[in-house]
Amino acid sequence: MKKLILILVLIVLLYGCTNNNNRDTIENFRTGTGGLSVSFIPNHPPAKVYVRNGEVNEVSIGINLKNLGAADITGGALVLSGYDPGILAIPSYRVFTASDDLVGKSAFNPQGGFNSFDFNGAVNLPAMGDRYSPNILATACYDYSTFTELSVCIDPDPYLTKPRACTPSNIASSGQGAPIGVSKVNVEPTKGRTIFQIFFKNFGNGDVFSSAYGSARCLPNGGGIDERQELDIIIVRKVKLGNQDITANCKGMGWGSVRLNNGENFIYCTYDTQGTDSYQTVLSVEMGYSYRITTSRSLEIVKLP
Amino acid sequence: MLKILKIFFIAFLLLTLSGCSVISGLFGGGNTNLDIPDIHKGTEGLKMSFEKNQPLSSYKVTDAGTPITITVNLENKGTSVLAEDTTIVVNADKSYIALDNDRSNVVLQGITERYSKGESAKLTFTGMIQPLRLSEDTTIVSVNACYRYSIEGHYSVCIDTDPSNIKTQKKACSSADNNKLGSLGGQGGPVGANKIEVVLNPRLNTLKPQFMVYVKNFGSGRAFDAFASPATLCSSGLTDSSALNIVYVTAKLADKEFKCSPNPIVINPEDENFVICSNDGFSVSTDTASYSSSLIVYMVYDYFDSISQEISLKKVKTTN
Repeated sequence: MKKLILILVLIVLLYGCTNNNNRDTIENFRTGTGGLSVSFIPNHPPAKVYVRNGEVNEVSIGINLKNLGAADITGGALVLSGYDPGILAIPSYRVFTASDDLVGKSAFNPQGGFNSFDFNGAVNLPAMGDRYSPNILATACYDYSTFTELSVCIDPDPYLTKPRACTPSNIASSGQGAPIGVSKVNVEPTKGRTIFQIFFKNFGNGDVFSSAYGSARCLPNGGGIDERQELDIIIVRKVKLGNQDITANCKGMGWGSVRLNNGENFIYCTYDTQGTDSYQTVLSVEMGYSYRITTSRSLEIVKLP
Repeated sequence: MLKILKIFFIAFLLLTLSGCSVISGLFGGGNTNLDIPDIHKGTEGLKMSFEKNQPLSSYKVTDAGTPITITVNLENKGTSVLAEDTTIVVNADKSYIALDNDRSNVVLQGITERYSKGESAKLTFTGMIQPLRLSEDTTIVSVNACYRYSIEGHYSVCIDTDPSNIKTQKKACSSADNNKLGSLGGQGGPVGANKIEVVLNPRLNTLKPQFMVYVKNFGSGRAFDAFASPATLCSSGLTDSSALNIVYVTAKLADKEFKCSPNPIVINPEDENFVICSNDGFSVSTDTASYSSSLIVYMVYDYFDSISQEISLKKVKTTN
């Protein structure tokens, strides 16, 4: 019996110890590749909906939106498609704004903002056969931004043979709390100038498009997205090294934008160095874009005899 | 103490089991599915057969004649209701068989979700086999059925607004999904659609959906113009070739009526026969996302079907 008590006490103590280790850690929320997550609320509606003649056959489709990234979502649209509006008379979209609390992950909100939307409507029985099985798509388009901060080493004169505080090296990253981010930075130091090759990548499963027209272009009455013009475009708002804005020294951007090719592309930025001592500093890149993510689920509507 | 432990153990077991999906399903917590059969399938309408030994395959005929009973089993194996004007006529050579009554009407419900077999009936016709001139002979008894039938075919169709896959946006469905309509096996009646092709005609920023519905007589009988009444058909309509193989077709896509042309269609058994169903005022913007819709195809026709049996007759002398 004594042994048992001893083991229990040990387990409790060990549990407490492991938890304490994480308690005071300040989490970096600008990690990962999450943006807005779109999911159907389980069983809302159920996989099979039974309808009957002579009754008001209501259907409600519930969608969960969760901001898994680090940026706040201040505007966007949630669009339902895949069904015939003549059969399922439900609203096809809903616009969301800053008031919908889809804030990004932060120390104050480590889980990120969350909201649910219901699309309520009814089944038009005469318009359907005995069964109607649409594949419902929920598409969210939203404006998002990525703020990347990477530690880089600047060596103003790499050919000098003397002890260095740091040695420039390439940097790889797997996401900065957004679906679009910097995947790699190649650092090439030359005498008096450091060249950065900054790679951008779409880490997510969705499509990125220019934020110039706003994500409302996703709306049915917005005419859809003119993909040839807007798809795969991100706006590089600012590239800074330490406190110095080097955006003007970047090549490979047309009007501040970069078009991704197969989900990736890069720009070159240069920084004119001074002195001879190497040092560590922060390369920060700020991007803006609209992002489109789609999820689907099947629904079967069965007419009861 | 042992009793208390037992009670605790049983309570624990029940609590654990109640968490299981099997148990929760029993109490309504799991996913339930009603079994509602799809009735709009199959190629049969009114199925006829002779009752065993009615008529017999051979009869001994006396000088005064011999009674004969012909019983026909009827079973409505399709989805349409057989209305009052459904006519059953027994045909026999009057020089051999004199029937008391050679025709009858019948009303039979078709198969529904609740009655998967459809309604059935027996019709009995009586008469006398006439005295034979020869010592042995044969004759044929046939039964004709004439009835009005209608079918409804229910199909899920994809209105693919980006058939060339130019856009990168995910699609709820695609044109390829409509390939499943390439081979259809009947919709609960002897005449129905054996194939449907979904045609999305591109216009400027819009698509005009059209449906090519191939009509086929799956049965052994013949289709006739539904505007000729079944009773007339069973009497004299068979001689009117202008009413032969005529089927009326209409269609509906969700809440939109589609007109089919030609309507009616004359189906040639040796050929592929199709109507094109369209709605002049209906088009879909190419900016709309692709979606699934519901196509219902209706067909109306009169149908003539027949069964027959050969009867051997043998003269016998009656002894007084």
